[in-house]
Amino acid sequence: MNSYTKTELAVLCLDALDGLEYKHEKALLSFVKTPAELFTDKNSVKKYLAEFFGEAKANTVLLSLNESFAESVVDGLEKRGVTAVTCYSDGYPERLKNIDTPPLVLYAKGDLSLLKSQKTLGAVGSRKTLPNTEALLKEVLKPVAAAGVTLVTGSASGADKTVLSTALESGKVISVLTGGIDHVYPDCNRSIIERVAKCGLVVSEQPPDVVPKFWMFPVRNRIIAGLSDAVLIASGDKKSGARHTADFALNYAKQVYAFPYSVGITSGELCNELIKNGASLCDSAKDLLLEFGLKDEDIEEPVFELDEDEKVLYEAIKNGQEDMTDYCMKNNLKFFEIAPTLSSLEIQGLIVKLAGNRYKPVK
Amino acid sequence: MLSKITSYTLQGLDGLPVDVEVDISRGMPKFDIVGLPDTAVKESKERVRAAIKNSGKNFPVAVITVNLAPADVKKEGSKLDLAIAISLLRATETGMERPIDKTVVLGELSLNGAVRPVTGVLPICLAAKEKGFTTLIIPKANEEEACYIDGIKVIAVSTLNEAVRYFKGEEIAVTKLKKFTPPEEKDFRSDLKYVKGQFIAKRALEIAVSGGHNILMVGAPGAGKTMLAKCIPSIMPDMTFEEALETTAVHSVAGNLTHKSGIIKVRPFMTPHHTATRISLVGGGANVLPGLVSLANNGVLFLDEMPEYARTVLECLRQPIEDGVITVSRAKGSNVYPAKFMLCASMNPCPCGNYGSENAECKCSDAQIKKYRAKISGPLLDRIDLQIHVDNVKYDDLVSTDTEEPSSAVRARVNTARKIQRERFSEDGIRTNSEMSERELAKYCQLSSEDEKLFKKSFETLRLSARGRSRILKVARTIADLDYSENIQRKHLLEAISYRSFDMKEN
Repeated sequence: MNSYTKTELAVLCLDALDGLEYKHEKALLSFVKTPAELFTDKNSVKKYLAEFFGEAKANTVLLSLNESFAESVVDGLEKRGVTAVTCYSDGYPERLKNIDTPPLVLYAKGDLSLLKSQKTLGAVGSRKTLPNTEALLKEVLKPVAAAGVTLVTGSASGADKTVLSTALESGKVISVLTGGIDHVYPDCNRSIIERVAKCGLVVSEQPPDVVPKFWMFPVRNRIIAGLSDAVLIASGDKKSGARHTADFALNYAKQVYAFPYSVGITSGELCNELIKNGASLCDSAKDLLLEFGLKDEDIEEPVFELDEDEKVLYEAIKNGQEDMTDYCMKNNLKFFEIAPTLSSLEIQGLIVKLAGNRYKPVK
Repeated sequence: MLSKITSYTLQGLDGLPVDVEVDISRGMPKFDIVGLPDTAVKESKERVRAAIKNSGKNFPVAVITVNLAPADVKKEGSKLDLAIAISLLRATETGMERPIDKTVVLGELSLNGAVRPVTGVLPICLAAKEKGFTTLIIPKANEEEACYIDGIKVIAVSTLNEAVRYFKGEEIAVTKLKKFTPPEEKDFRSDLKYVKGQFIAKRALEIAVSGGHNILMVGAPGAGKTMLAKCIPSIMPDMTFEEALETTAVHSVAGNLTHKSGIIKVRPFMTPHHTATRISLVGGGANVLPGLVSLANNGVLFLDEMPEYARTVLECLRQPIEDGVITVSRAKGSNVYPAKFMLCASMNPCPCGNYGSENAECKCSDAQIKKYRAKISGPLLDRIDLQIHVDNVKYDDLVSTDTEEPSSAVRARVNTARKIQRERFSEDGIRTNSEMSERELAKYCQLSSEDEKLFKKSFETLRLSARGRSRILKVARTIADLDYSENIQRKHLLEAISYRSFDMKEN
């Protein structure tokens, strides 16, 4: 036995139908008084559908619009351990009701109470996030997540994955998938998404068996923006999908934060542009904690005790000295003389190694 | 009439004594060889007949039976020609009175009676000495191979007649014993002094060669990976006599020695093309010959563009890297060959080659990069101690007139580090840091409790896999050796940590 109400079943059934677009489903729902009427008042539903698609298609749609089909959909969900939260359910997040195109059904796996989180922060970025930005993202999000703010992100590699792993370590996270829950994209992140389903929440607007398509990515991003109180854009080039998330967040009147970047770094062009257009600059956890009215005194600024060599090298790297071969040449040093210092700074989390023997400061 | 003399055949790297017995009796003339001879041995009767005739001797018109004992082991090659001829002549000629019970005869015959070189002289020489033989008759062309072995009298002959004269009691000059000396300084075509910049890679190569560590160089096309690898021979440490013998033995069995090279004094540097098959690498074939991993014994096996090799070929390397020996089993039998080589591999960071590059954008998708890197399996990667990035050289570096350190200076340091290792491991049965097992790690790689803490922290912050621990410790040990340090200090450990870059990409 499932515990879905008639209304929920009707919405689920409607959502599972083939060939109905979101706008049609929405229109149909506003046409009937309560969704349960979809099962009972077949004549008027048929008439309404016929106006849209013509007689033939309306008939095929109606064939599936019944309780037994809804039951089979629910069976499929239960087999997968997926819970459906419809826009008529109690568990449906208030935040999504306030956006202009709320998903009709959220297919969710994990801790459903997270949908009702007090405080949520969306954090997204590009797949090509630089390692030092990933380190910064981790540092910034750790205290935020630990302070009880639920993080919301996607499932991609790069920034999203960093958000997921940070939150898994120190807080709660919601991962919004693009396709159905059966099809994690990219496949290499399946294991981390499975962990999120255990310790956090994985949701998708698409029924579990839907394969992700390109057009679904920006559509999914509206849910990330919608579920969040504020959004942090960690990275992104001019064409990055993070732009959609930021745009949606602005439309929904949510605060947008972005990491600042030096000029010329492709993976940060979007962030700089957002800041130019009025987004808030974020370079520490403080900025985000203030947004949620949390005290920043609680975060301990880590104290670094650097010796002379470390100080000199750290300053140089902070001043843009990336290439260590270059540094050795300029200062007439042998590489093995600075290698221990480099490692030491790296272990303390002050610098990050990039491919090609380049080093960047985390901050 | 009956006569007998000892010769040798090879089973892998081991010499196997073969008694060549000849019986001559009256009857319808025929010439038979029994005792599991292979085709080359069977054909030797034609060579023996012609050689005896063309040396001005009489070939007996009688029933000739040659038995090769032990009769149940397959004999191969042409090494037994000379022994058969001598044995036959001893049965017919008069005056070949010299005692032969402590003598071994080796050599192939030419139709005109000349003695031609054979393979495997060095291992046979060693085996014969061990068995208590005192005299070894070998082809003149193989003289150089045997002249380093003390304790056995080597007589090199160039014709069948010369050998006969020896057995008739004439004194033939004994090959002079040579003392093993390292090769003279050579001007290498690829020398580190021609490589501009690349400090990190150069240092890593020095460490790798010093400790015999396997090394993987990851870098964009044109970064200079191959050029760096080609410099490895110029910084390789001198071979010890023991190592030289081991290496020469393998090459001798494989038939790679020319009579001029004699004993191999320069460490081998093997560069198979990426179309290499498994068998060419591990060894095999009809005669169960050694493959490239054995030919690279005590030297370097260089795999350029590693992911281009077939995965099955790469996986074959795992066992020899781990054990230092390879057992090649075929229908003819199974042979054990040494395979202690240093693996040097290079690869691009991604299919397009620009991942992480400063100058060009990488166009590969995540999945493509993953797939490309997955060609090198985790277990194989685990056996590569040093994994470094090689960065692109800048134009300024290329035209700079700064003098770079020459290979000879690096080699001097490498030699010292190797000496320290040899002394340390004299009782452990290993030669280099890379061969250390858990037992030696515990013995020689102690960290202070503070450094241990730091080490642990580095695993957390740098997302190192726990499997990398012993790898880093081994490298740290080598760095400490290069620094003449008794114990691994913090700076050595930290430097060792900085040479891992490939395996930390995984989240």
